[in-house]
Amino acid sequence: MIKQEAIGQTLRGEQVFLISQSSITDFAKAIGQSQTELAPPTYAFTIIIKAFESTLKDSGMNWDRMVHGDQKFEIITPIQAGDRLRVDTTIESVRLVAGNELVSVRADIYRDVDTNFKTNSDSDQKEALIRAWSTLVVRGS
Amino acid sequence: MLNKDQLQIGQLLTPASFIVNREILKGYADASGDQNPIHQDEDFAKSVGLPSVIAHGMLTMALGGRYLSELAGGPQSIKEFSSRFTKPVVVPAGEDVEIIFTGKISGIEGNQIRVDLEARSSGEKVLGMAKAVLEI
Repeated sequence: MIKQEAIGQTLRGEQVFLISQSSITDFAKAIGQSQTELAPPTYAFTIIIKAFESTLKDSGMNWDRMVHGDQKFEIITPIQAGDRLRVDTTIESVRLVAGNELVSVRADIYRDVDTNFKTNSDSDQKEALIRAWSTLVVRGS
Repeated sequence: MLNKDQLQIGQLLTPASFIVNREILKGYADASGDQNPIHQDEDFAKSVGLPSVIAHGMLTMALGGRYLSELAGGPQSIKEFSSRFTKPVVVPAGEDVEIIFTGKISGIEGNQIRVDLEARSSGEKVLGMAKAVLEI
């Protein structure tokens, strides 16, 4: 179960994702898409899920019983090769429905700022590329 | 491709059909990092009550993204994209399974159009409430 105190919290993504051209090309090829200059919109989920795995497991989610219920993307700037990205996770709500835990979680993907330059992590210097909302369903045992 | 001078609400978009098979599932698993065995291992899939291996919901959604991208002239055209994963696409060994995408314009605002997307496999809807906003 997601810990009560985690609900409403924004969990800062510690991991920096370095986006390579080959990872975009591989993803585009896997779905038969010929354009590879920009990442396909759903490519974002490949890094979101990695961020979720660390932040949501830490918040108490039973990761092994999780299935993906729905997904929404708002794309401000498509991902491209060379991007250094971080993902913030916000657990927006948790509902219990028929023994299943429905976790609504938001991911904000932004460019990693220069680490030599000290910034307040809450400042608006972050440039959001993609905002995404997921419903993850943790099946009851 | 959509012609921006000839768009109207209710307009049906040219359908497209994409194939998924075991090889494509393996390719998507490798490219996306989602190595869940329900998408590759038939015995495992059956052990959790599925009829066979199923496609990743995100693969079906990604193919929907490809459909929209090809209609609108590139991935940069997709501003919003959402879907529910209502029904899994079952992919038996050695078979090519077809997913047919269709779309309908549900709104036009300036240079943006709203699209209701439908994805069907074996006659059944496999994505629910799939919607997108495209800039054209």
